[in-house]
Amino acid sequence: MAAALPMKPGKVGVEEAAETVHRIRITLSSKNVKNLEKVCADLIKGAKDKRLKVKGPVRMPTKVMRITTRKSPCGEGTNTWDGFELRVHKRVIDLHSPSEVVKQITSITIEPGVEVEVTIADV
Amino acid sequence: MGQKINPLGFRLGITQNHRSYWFAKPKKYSKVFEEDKKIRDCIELYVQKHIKNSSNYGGIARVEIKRKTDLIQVEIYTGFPALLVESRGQGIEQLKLNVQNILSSGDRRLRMTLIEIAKPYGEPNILAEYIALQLESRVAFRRTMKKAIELAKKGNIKGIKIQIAGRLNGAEIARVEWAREGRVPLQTIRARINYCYYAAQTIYGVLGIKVWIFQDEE
Repeated sequence: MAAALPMKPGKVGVEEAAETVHRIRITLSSKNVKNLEKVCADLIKGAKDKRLKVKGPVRMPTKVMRITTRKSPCGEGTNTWDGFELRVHKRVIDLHSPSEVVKQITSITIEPGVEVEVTIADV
Repeated sequence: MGQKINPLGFRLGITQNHRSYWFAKPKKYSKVFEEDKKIRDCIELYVQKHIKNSSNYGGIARVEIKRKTDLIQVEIYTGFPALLVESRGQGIEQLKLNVQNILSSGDRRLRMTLIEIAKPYGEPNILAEYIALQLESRVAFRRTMKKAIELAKKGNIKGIKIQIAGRLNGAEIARVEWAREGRVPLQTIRARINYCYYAAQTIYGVLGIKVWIFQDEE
């Protein structure tokens, strides 16, 4: 595919970027702690297998979104309330690695219900 | 005496799994939720158009939707997969195409699977559809309830309760009738109880059918 791209001076640069290391931040969010921890552990194991520098899972404070509504469809009766809540758990993993390796790792470990966000902060 | 909480919602953390399993940030939550509803409606519409007629019922127990980044997994649990797989070799291609047309952005893959349930009459949805069909063909409701309980007992269930409300046998005054077999401990959270509400449209109005099936304890 490299031959069919005339106006891409950065193509050579992309080849070189495989060597340059980026600071990569992976943010995992989920409603479910067990799945989240599993994906975290898998990611860190995958990164350690490729011998990358990993800053372990930093657990952000859980965000609890509460919705409190009257149980009654009309106003009658003792004032009973339903308290629904949605708990969002967030973990942050920092890696120092070329971006292709990261794509490999993140494509292997995906569970339903866990959102993975990768941001690359150029050094 | 008070109102009863929906036994499915009551047990969501324990003994009951979510039927839609995904995560979305608050900004996109409503959009994803709407999409889920559209998928379910599309499946229901397809079943209604192609399969349901006066002698057949859809046979879908539940639809589970799981989302990963860029993959949507729809699992349709059905008691009679032969009904959904119409023409030989095509399988559920038509249904899959319908659902894909509904999903807005096409950069997500859709994977739809049919899962067969071993004992279809052990699922309240299928049982309720059967009862509704009988009631709409004006069979006496008490006979229908007894027959439904017998059908359900063929599977290994520990208890079943059926409640039908409305103009039973076309009576002018509506009432509520229920039949129970075995035990259905609604207060016990570790009891695996499956529940369904279904509305039967008869010429006299709507009959509400509620089915509780107690499968096993934890």
